[in-house]
Amino acid sequence: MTPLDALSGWIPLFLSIRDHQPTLDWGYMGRERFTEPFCQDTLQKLASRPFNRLLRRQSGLDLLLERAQRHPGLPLKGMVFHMSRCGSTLAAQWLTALSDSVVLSEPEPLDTLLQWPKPYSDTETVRALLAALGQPRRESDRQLFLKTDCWHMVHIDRLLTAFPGTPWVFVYRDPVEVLVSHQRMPGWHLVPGSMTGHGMQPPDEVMNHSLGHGAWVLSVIMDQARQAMERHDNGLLLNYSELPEALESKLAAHFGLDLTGLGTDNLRTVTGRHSKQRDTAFHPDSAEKRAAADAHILELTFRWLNKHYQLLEQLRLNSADHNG
Amino acid sequence: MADISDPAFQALRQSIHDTPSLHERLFNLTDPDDFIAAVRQLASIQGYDLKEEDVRQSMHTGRKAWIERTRT
Repeated sequence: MTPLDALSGWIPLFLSIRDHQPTLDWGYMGRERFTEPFCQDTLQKLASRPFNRLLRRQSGLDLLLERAQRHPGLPLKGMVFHMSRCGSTLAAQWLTALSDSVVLSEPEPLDTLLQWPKPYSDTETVRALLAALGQPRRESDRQLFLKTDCWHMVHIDRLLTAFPGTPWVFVYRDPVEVLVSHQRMPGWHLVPGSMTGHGMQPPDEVMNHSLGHGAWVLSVIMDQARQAMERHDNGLLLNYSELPEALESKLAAHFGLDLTGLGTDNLRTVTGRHSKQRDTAFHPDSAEKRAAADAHILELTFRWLNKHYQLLEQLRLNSADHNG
Repeated sequence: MADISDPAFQALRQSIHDTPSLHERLFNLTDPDDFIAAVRQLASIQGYDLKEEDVRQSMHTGRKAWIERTRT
């Protein structure tokens, strides 16, 4: 653990622009851990504490940068990119169950920062933010993992510039199944225009059509993943159909995890339950989702996603042949 | 963050921020009434009569700022 100082146990709760200046609200986290499926669930709980209602600190980005010099945080050992509703949260929860790991799952402060222009969001600031969020929280913590928001696939170059050589994975799934999930419970990226802060300007044809907008965003994400696989080393493609077994095999090997002595029974308990509704058992539901796909979803998949999915599958299967 | 602009309250906040041993203790007071009582007691030690309603109002303001934070 880091030596006790006035900011020991404090983390960035949220970033905002106040009086035209980037501002960071720090909240106290103490010995709490990021164990919820999403960072935001943990941050929400922290923000609700009386202490953090009354006694948050505010600073500029200078304090973040200065603090990262003395408290660089845990080394980032892997990044999980994904297309949403594809098993990525299961992967994050599995990593969280490791006794030596801190996992940041879709941290909102990073999402905010990535939308800011430079110099506010330069490489050094991205590193400093993850350093502040990724401090060790237990004596045993040795490594950090980041699961990004799905649309952060478009920022992979920036993230790999900040953390060069870090192994990364792209988790994806048959897009029909992903769209069925979003039709039932729409994600943020289905809101038309919601991705402009990330540089994604939607075509007119999807501007009044949330599921169409979602399909278009997913097409951008999948295309970016394919391009990133061609541009960067250290990438791994993981299809939902390979889960959960591939976590212990392919993902563990790719991230260089040594699972001996870490209690695989405990890890399998995690993969045996639903990642977002943890009282519910996890079971693959591809067949059920495909059966629920209506003509509209099939049309959107054909229009935006089939080609990208097939290209990713070719890459994945070729890689398996090559390595196999 | 708090909207209590009284310099005495600002001094109290600063002294709490500067005292790491207080952070954990106050953070662990999850019941608002217990927390407010503890903060008022600390204020009293510093010779500052901090009103309960002022603390509650400031906590409300802090909560509102969290809820209304923007993503950009």
